[in-house]
Amino acid sequence: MNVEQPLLEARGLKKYFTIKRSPIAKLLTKKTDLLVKAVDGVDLSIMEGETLGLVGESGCGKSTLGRAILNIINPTAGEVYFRGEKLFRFNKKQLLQFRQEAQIIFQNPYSSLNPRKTVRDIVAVPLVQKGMHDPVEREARILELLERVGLSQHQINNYPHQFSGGQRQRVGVARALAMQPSFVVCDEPVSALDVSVQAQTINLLEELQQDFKLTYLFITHDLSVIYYVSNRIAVMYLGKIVEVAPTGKLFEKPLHPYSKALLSAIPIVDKAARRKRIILEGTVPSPIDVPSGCPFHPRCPEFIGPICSSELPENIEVEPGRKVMCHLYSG
Amino acid sequence: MLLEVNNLQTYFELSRGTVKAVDQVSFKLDQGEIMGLVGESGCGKSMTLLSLLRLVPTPGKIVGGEILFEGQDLLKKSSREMTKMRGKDLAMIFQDPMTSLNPVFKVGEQIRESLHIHGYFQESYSGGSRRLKAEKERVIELMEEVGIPSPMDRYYEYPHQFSGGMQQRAVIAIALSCEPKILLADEPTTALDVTIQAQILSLMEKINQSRGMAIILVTHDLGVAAEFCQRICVMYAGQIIEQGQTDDIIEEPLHPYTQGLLNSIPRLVPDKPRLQPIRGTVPSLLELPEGCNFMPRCDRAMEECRLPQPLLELQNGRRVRCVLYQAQAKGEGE
Ligand SMILES: Nc1ncnc2c1ncn2[C@@H]1O[C@H](COP(=O)(O)OP(=O)(O)OP(=O)(O)O)[C@@H](O)[C@H]1O
Ligand SMILES: Nc1ncnc2c1ncn2[C@@H]1O[C@H](COP(=O)(O)OP(=O)(O)OP(=O)(O)O)[C@@H](O)[C@H]1O
Ligand code: SF4
Ligand SMILES: [Mg+2]
Ligand SMILES: [Mg+2]
Repeated sequence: MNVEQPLLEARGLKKYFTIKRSPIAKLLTKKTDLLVKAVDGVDLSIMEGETLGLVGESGCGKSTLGRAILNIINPTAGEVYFRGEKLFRFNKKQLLQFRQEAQIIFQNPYSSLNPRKTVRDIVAVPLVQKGMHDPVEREARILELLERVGLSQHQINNYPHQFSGGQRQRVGVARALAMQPSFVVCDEPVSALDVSVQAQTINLLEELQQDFKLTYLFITHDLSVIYYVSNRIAVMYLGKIVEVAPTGKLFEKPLHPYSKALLSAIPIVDKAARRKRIILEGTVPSPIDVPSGCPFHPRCPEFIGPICSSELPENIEVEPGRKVMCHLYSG
Repeated sequence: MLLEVNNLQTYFELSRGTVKAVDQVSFKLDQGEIMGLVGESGCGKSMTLLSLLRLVPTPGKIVGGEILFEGQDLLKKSSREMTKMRGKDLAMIFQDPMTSLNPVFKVGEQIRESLHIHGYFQESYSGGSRRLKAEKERVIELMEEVGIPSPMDRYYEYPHQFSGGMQQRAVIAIALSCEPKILLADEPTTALDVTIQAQILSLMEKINQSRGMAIILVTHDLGVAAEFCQRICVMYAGQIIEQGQTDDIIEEPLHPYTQGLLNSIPRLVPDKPRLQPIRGTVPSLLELPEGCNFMPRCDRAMEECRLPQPLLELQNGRRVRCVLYQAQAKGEGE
């Protein structure tokens, strides 16, 4: 196998949602259904064994991108390749295989677990799906998984409400691990947790990555967390990836004007790490009304002229492994 | 001293036991100062602020202590006097701006109502349209001050037509309307995106400087507290366990819980040392140990920790509730 080949690759991926208007509303307003451009043309590669961080503000399309990549929702356009194979051409058997190899961990450990099921039942589901029908073997595997994620074996009969938030997140991790995945989308896995518990979960995810050679797409809006866990970071704004860079380089010198503002906005404990704050004007526009040209142009402090408001910048490779979608870097 | 809180105690008597949501809380706040109140979920931050306003929800009750505002104990005021002081002397803003906004009234009118209730312009104009006009003009000024663009138009819009950040600005305008001496801000930016959070924090900083208004900022984000506050109080399970100048606390945390918190958050430092989580989880306030509340999770716990720990007074306004510092203590700060 070619070493350079990404484990997973998205090309021109789009996911639009339609918000239907009633026929009367259409008549009255003379407007058609609304189109939410949640993911709008994303190219992204994820290398085997790495953690790619996906960061951006609320509503920019991170979760939608994570789901479209996993084929949990159907993309509107574009392609996803897994180990070089085109995902949407998969037959049933291949898709089943992919669904096992690629798992997701959700933000909300409260709502992602069925409250009427015990931990045993919750972790058993994927094991049965995998074809582990012998109850003795299954029980042993469930106990092993619980132990691996740091839960005690007596908790096997507990219901989700009997756990704390951090423990529930561990149950979610155990369920994902049961499939023996190679790729896991972690969608804000620590955002709902208290800081002291957040650290336990981050450490657990890092250990599991080493033990099981996992590849992560780690979604978060918390820039300190993403700095910690990622090898590379993709910055998302209004459905587009505006910059991709190795973590150290991005934090040292962000290139895209949005990345600069975003990084400068994080409140930082350590004085030495603070940078001059760039306060952006206004709020993120709605993905229903994406600005023309560069989607960031109405708020951009470095706006260079009409080209920004009329032409969508290309993804420019400024140095190997660093791409920016901004006219400042073209030509 | 603008505000001095001594030994404040707010309890919830439940059938399962007593929840000491605010337990022997003491701190001081100077004119124009920004103080942070930090701690994890359920440690009593909101109840502390609500106690200051005497707005603790039932079955909670303030059962002890004093709240000296400009030397007068708020706990001794009649409820009529207290109503007058809310908004006028102490104003509060919440995490969810819609707690303070009424969805069916125009934003501008809501700010004006706050002015009106507190009797703004009551003396200058005996009533009627001249007073209304003065109030409206003041509202427009306030909306401008908090950075709501085209306030003339937005005066007539409803809260749902505002983004989250704009709603929070409107709430700040309401809070500012009567020029309070203290602004109590309960996680005012937690629900907002970082770039919007930066806007709101810089707005609050600006108001603090231009009006000399003191702020108590509740947050669970140590970064926010570190950048924004001159002093920090760290809470754990209903108690203040450490307080001091922000730089002292960040550079040399004393209480094992504060140390644990700072070691467990990802920090933007070059070598990314492995995070060191605190053992266990935040306890329920119904299941606290005897003695130091942090003992079951503390790596340095010893026999003496089984006794109740007073808040010890150290150098430089530093206070810490931990047996390890008994030898250095100047006294008990309570
Ligand atoms: N099923 C849906 N129907 C219509 N619009 C949707 C749907 N799911 C998501 N959206 C919209 O798509 C956009 C992107 O949503 P998404 O949940 O991917 O954002 P996100 O970056 O994960 O945000 P957050 O940080 O808040 O989780 C949002 O504007 C959202 O309102
Ligand atoms: N209505 C109530 N009945 C019983 N206990 C209550 C009630 N309201 C609050 N408490 C208790 O008071 C404690 C302190 O609550 P408070 O809301 O002040 O926490 P907080 O520090 O603001 O937390 P958060 O960061 O989650 O907002 C909680 O642990 C809770 O157990
Ligand atoms: S393309 Fe123009 S508007 Fe967009 S980020 Fe770059 S400079 Fe700013
Ligand atoms: Mg999301
Ligand atoms: Mg609170």
